[in-house]
Amino acid sequence: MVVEVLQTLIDGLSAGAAYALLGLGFTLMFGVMRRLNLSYGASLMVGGYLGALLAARMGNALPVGVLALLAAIVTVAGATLAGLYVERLCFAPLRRRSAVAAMVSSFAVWMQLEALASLLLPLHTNPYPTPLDLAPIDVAGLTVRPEHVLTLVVAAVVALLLHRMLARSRFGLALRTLSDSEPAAEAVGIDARRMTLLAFLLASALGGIGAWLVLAADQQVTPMFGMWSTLKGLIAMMLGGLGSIPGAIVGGLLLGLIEASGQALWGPQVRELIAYGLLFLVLVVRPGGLYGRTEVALDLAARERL
Amino acid sequence: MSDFQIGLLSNIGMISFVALSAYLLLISGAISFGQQAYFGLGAYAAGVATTLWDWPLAVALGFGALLGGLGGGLIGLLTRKLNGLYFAIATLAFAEFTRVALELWRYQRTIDGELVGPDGANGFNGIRRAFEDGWHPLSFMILIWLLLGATLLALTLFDRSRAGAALRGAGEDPVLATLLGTDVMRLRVAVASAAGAIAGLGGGLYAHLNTYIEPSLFDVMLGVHALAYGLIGGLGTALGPLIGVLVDIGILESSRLFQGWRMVVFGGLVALLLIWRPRGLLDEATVRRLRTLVLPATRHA
Amino acid sequence: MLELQHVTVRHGGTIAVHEVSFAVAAGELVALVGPNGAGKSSLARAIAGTHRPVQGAIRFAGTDITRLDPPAITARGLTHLPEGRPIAPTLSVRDNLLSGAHVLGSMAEAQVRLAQVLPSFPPLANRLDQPAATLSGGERQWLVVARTLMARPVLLLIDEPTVGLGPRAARETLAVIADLRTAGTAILLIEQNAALVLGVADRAMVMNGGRIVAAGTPRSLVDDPRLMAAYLGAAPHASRPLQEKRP
Repeated sequence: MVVEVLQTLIDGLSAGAAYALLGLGFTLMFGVMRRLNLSYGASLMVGGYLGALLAARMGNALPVGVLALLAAIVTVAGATLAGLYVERLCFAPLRRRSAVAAMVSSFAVWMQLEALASLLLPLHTNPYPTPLDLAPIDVAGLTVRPEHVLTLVVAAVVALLLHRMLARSRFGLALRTLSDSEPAAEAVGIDARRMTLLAFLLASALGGIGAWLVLAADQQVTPMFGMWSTLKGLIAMMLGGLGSIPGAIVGGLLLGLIEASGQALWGPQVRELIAYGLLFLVLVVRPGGLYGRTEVALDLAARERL
Repeated sequence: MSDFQIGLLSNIGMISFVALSAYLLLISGAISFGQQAYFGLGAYAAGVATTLWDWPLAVALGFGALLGGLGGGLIGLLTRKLNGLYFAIATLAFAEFTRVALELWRYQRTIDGELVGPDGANGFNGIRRAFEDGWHPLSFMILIWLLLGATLLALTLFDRSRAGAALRGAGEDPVLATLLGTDVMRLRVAVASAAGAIAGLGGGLYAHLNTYIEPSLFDVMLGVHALAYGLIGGLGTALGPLIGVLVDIGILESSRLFQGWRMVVFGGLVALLLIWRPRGLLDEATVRRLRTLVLPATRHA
Repeated sequence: MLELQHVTVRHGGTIAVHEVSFAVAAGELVALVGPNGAGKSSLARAIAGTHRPVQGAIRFAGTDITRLDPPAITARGLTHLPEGRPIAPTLSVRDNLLSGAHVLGSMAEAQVRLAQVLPSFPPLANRLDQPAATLSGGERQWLVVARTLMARPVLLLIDEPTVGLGPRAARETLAVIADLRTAGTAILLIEQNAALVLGVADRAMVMNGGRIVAAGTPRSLVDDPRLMAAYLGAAPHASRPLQEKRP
């Protein structure tokens, strides 16, 4: 019994760690512009597809470790470039204008990126290179997969580095100020447009790392990855509280745990059911999420004319 | 008229229902990523009504609309205090919840020696009532467009009415609207119901034309597409969403011009269009201008 | 330091500022007074860069800043303290202050500057780690003023500094602002409450209906009937254009 619970815990936390990275990316973007980037997942998928393309073309010529490393770099770089494209086309031109238009525009680009990916690699399932093709380790009755360990370690390191950057650097402070209050940021001379672009790049890179962890564990990438990662990132962000960085991490981990428990108890579909049901409940009962702001601040933040 | 053309026009008609559903909410100031849920609920409800309960087609379609309306109203009620983004995500969550729930739902009966009914992720087959009643693809297409036309008329009349103006006012500036005496919350819930019913009606039609539905049809893609149609065609008039559907399904789907690049081209065009026209082609300003051109009496001094 | 030439600004459909020209020298505290709706805020926005003038030129420290964006203008040392007193509510007082030094270019510089500025603001020094939202109205005012100082401003454009403050707090605020002159900072103070600022200003201008209707030293303006007329409602076009008072 205890073993099962611990197993669920491990599975849940490692999935959750990846979700946390996805949620962080979403949150960073939302924080600087108060809009949802619906093509976030699609940008990550582009990165994943580029990694798979690399494997398809050069997989035989390179040793496993090198291939995996290159795939990681290509994935993160691809995701970042795609994020740049989205920011320039969908969000920068509509900065002080209709938020709905910007979000729908990002959706249109999601469709675009998905189509492009399918043109690159027409098969539904595409192998994705992994650094660790090792067998799961048995530790006192628990199945510990190396991918899970990798995910937890990488995610933790990334989260720590991100925290340091946000807390101590000039860029981090500017980002936090802009996310907290655009008028205050303007008053101190922070260039909101430039910040938004940089935040996008950072968020895409973070998401790219999260995507790499997931894909390396799954060892494949499909066209569904775009929608999947968008939804996971979105739920992680909402659970923890829209716009909150620590919230995104907690939200991601929580989502992972809830899914793992749901799966263990009732199977994969109920797992999804619980995730969405919980999200809806959180929104209706406590829209601020776990770390979110109080009602008043929330209302002001969300009341922006769409 | 070729079979292909009939099928195309039918599709355009049915998808327009979901597009109108999202449009109605948009002009009230609410973004919904979830109207596909009511489309799906209407489809399943109408399908079950005719296939398992042996109800007449018309009643079943009404039942589908009713269920869509109830669902829309309920969710509208639960989320009435949520603004903007939160509302949007809540609708998304509900829609996905519904889709997954439908994947788990089995409700089958043996009728005439055959096992029929919704079978979770395997879908719902055998919704043949329309064809058993003697409808043909052509006549059914006409039915779709008649119902769509009625809906468009109703929406247009509503838009011209005081309630319609109040709704658009609430969409632009809820604070001002409240000051002017509009009960914004109640209006939003009512509109959510109506929108749900419209989507539900479309769903029922969809189920009976295609005779087969499955949960994966009613996914986020459909929902966001529905939203996009209104934004492409324009939010100034109920014809806007229709134009959006025509552009996507009518022009791009039917012309085999672009092959695999269709979505790449379409996506890029939409993004560019929205930079130029954030409220769509027939946005409120354009509609007003057109109106003064067509009806000189409305031109102001 | 700051020079305006025939600056005209539109606001909505009307002309809010009509061909205004004046200059502010280093170390000067110039007050711009006038009733509500006179165009003072529109003028401030034009100088700060959030609103482009339709006509005219604005020069700051030798550079033409007429068409520059706010971040570029702030980076050159022209700091705008807008009326809303925006702060980052969930960030700590310390972080709010440090953000003020954004234009200095490095966190290290910002920390140095913080140490220089803090001694003048004891109430803030005690609350460095609190979220800014927990500050009282008066403390928030201090926070905003201190934050503005963090940028080592060459010219401070302050919009209505005493709004919402009691008389004592208002006087204290103005005293702190006036002290900045000793560091060579130029100050353009926009204020509805003419009586308050005429006490600290080196020079003042009266604005009404988008134009400068009177200018001079506070002493000369105090008796000027145009000052009263601007506030008590004589139509702006009825005032004759600017005339130098003979000493």
